[in-house]
Amino acid sequence: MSAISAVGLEAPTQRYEALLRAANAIANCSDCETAADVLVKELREVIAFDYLRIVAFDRETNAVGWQLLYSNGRRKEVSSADASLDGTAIEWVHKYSQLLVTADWIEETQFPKHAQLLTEIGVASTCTLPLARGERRLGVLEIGRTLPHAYSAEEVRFLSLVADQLALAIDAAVSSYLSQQAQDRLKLILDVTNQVVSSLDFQELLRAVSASVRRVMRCDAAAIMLPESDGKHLRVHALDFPDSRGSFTEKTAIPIEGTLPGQAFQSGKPTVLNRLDPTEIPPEMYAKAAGEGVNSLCHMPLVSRGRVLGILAVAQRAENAFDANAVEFLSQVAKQVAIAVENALAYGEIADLKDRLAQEKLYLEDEIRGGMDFEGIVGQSSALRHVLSLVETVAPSDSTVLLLGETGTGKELIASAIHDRSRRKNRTLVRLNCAAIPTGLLESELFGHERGAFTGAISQKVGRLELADQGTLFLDEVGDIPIEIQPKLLRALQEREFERLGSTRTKKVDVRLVAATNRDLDKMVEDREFRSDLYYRLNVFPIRIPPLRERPEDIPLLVRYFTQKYGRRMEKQIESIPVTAMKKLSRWHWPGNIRELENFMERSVILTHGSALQVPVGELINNGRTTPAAGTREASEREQILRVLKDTNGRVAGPDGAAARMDIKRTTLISRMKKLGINPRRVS
Amino acid sequence: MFKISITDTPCKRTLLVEGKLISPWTAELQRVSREASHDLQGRKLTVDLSNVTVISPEGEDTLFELMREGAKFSCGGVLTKYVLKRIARRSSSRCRDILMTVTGNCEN
Repeated sequence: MSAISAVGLEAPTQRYEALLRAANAIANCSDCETAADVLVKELREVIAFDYLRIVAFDRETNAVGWQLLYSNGRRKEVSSADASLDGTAIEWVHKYSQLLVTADWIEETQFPKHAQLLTEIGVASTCTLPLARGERRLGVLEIGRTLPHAYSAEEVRFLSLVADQLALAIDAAVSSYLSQQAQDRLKLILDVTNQVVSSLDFQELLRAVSASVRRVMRCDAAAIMLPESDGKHLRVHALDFPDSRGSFTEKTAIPIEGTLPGQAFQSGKPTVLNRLDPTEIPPEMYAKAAGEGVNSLCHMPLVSRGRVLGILAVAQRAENAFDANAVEFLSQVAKQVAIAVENALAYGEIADLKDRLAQEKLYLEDEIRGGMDFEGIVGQSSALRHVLSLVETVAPSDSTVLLLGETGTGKELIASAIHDRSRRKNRTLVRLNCAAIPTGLLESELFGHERGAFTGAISQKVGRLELADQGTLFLDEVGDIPIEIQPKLLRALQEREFERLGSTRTKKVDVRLVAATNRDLDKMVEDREFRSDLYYRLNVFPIRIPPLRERPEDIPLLVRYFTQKYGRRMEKQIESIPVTAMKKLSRWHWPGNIRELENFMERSVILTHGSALQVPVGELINNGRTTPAAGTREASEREQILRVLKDTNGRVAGPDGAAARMDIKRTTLISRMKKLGINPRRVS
Repeated sequence: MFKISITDTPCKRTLLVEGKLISPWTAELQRVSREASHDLQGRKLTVDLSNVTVISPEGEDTLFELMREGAKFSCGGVLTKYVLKRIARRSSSRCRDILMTVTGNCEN
C-alpha cells in the first residue's frame, strides 16, 4: 500500500511555480467549487492524474458538506451511491487525519467498497490526503491514476503542499460563507426591526416579516399564525411559500390541541421536527406536510411581556434543517416579530377606538347643534335682527366677543351662532359656566392640571382652554371669575400661552374667546371686583342682547315655537292657541326672559288636553308679580327707539336710519316717536 | 337631519319632508320637487311638512317658490301652520289654493 511509482514527473521548479500560481488564483476565489476548478487546471500542467475527488465536511455536524469528482478529464456528478463515505479510505483519512497512498487497488482489501468504486472507473493507484487547518479537519483530497504505483515520494510531498493550499481555500470559503450567513441574519433582524417601526398595516407587516425570515433562513416556507377568538385554533395570517402545492394557504385554521404549533403556543417553547414522523403529528397534518414534501418544521412562540401572541413557523423540505444554532437564531427573530405583532395589534385597537370616537364626536356635535344653531334663534323683531347682523359681521373674524344681556336672553345660542359662522366651525365650541364651578376648581377646569398638582389630582386633566385649541371657548358668566384667576386668564388670552397646574411646561393655544355676562362689568371695574385690563381685553366687540320685554313682537312666534316643540316631544297634537291667552302672554314682561317663557310653555303643554293650548294665565297675575302696565311697555318701546336713534346719530330715514334698523316704515316710527315724545335731534 | 320621501297615488304625489328645512337642505328640496314635478301626468304635488321641526328663512323662501309653482301643502303644529300662512300671504294670489290639512282653527 505504501509503494509509490514515479510516473509523469516534471521538473520540481515547474511544479512549485504551478503551485504558487494556484495559491494566488485560489486566494481570489470566493467559493470552494471555483477554487477547486482553478486548482485542477493548474495541477494538470505539473502532475499526471486520471481521477480527482475533493470532499468537504461540515464543521458542526461532520457530515459531507459538498464534494467534487473529476474523472477522465471531466467534472462529474457524484451519484447517491457514491456519496456515502462509510467504510471508505476517504472516511479513514478524514477520521485519522493521515495521508494514505494506495499503490494498487486490485490488491487492496481494507476498503473493499472503495476498491470496487475505483476499479470500476479504472483507477489503479491513489494518493488520499487530509485537508486540515491546524486542528480543524476540513475534508479530503484524493488523486489517482489508471496505472498502479503511480505516485513517488517526491510527488506525495508535493501533493501535501497542494492539499494545504486547498485546505486554505476551503477554510476561507467556509469562513466567508459563515460570515455572509451571520451578516444575512443580522440584516434579517434589522429588516424585521425596521418593519416593526415602519409598517402599521397588520397584514402587510406579517407578510413582509414572513418573506424576510424565509429568504434569510433559506427555508421553503415561513408563516405567522395568530390565535382565533374561540381559543381553540391558530389561523395562518401570513404565509410565504413560493413552491406551495396548495395544502397550506393563508386563513388555514390549525387546531391548538394535539398539533406542534399548538404545543408551542400553549407551552411558550419552540417545537422542532427534523424528520417527518407520522407518530408525532396528527394524520391530517402529516398528510398535508407530506403532500408538500416538507420534512423539517420549527414553530417559535411569539412572546411579548410574558404573553404568547402567536407562532412563527418555518419549514424546509430537507431533513435535519433546524439545528440548535438555527433554533437559537429563530428565537431572536421571534422576539422582534412578537414586538411587531403586539404593535400592530395595539395600532389596530387604537385605530378602531379613534374611528369610534370620531363617529361619536360627529354624532354629539350634531346633537348639540340640533338645539343650538342659528335656526334655534326665533324672532323677527328689529332688535333681534340687529343682534344677528352684528353676529354675521363679527363671526368671520377672530375677535373676542363680549355678550351682554340679562339671564335667559339666549347668550349661549348667540355664542354658538358666532362659532358656527366662524372659520373655526369644524373644531369644537367648548363651554364653561364660570358661576357653576366652585372657585377652587375653576383654575384647574380652565387650565388643567398635572397628576399630583394638588390633593385629589389623581390623574392628569386637560383644561377647557387646551380642549378649545383651534376652536372657540365660550366663558359664560365671566363676571363671576374670581379676581385671583383673572391675571392668568388675561395672560392666556393675550399671549396665547399658559401652564397646567403643577406643570412648568408652557403650552401654546389658538383659541377664539366668546364671553358672556349678565353683570355690569363697568361697575365691577369701578368697584375693583373685576380687573380693568381683563375687561378691556374682553370688551373688543360687545353685543347687547335685548331682553324679551324689549322685543314683545317676538313673543307670539316664540309661544308657537315652544308649543310645537313640546307638543311634538310630549306627542300632543296642539293645533291652536286661544287669542286671549296669546294676548296675555304678549303683555307679560318676562323678567326671566326666554328661559322663563320656555318653561312656562312647557308647563302649558303638560296641562293641555285636546287640540287647544291651555295656558295657566292665572299664574301671570297671581304669583305676586304685576302684569306690565301700558306705561311700562311704552317705556320699553321708548328705550328701544332711543337706543337705535343713538346708534344712528338721530337719523330716522335712509338705509342706515333708525326705521330701517327697526324694520318698520319711516312714517310709523315718526308717529311712535311723536306719541312717546321723542325728539331725534336731542338724541343725536 | 333631513329626509324626503316620495309616495305616489293615482291622484297625487306627496313629498314627505322630515327634519330641519334649513340650508343646505333647502336646495335638496328644490331639486327633488323639480324632478317630482316632471311626470305628474295631471296629478297634484303635495308637500307634507307635518314632521318638519325647523324652517329657516331660506326654507321659507323655498316653500314660497314651491307655493308659487302650484304645490299644495299639508302640515301640523302651530308654528309650521303660522309660517305657511305667512308665506301664503306673500303669495296671496294663490292663497286660496293652499291645502291645509290641519284640524282646529288658528286664532292668531
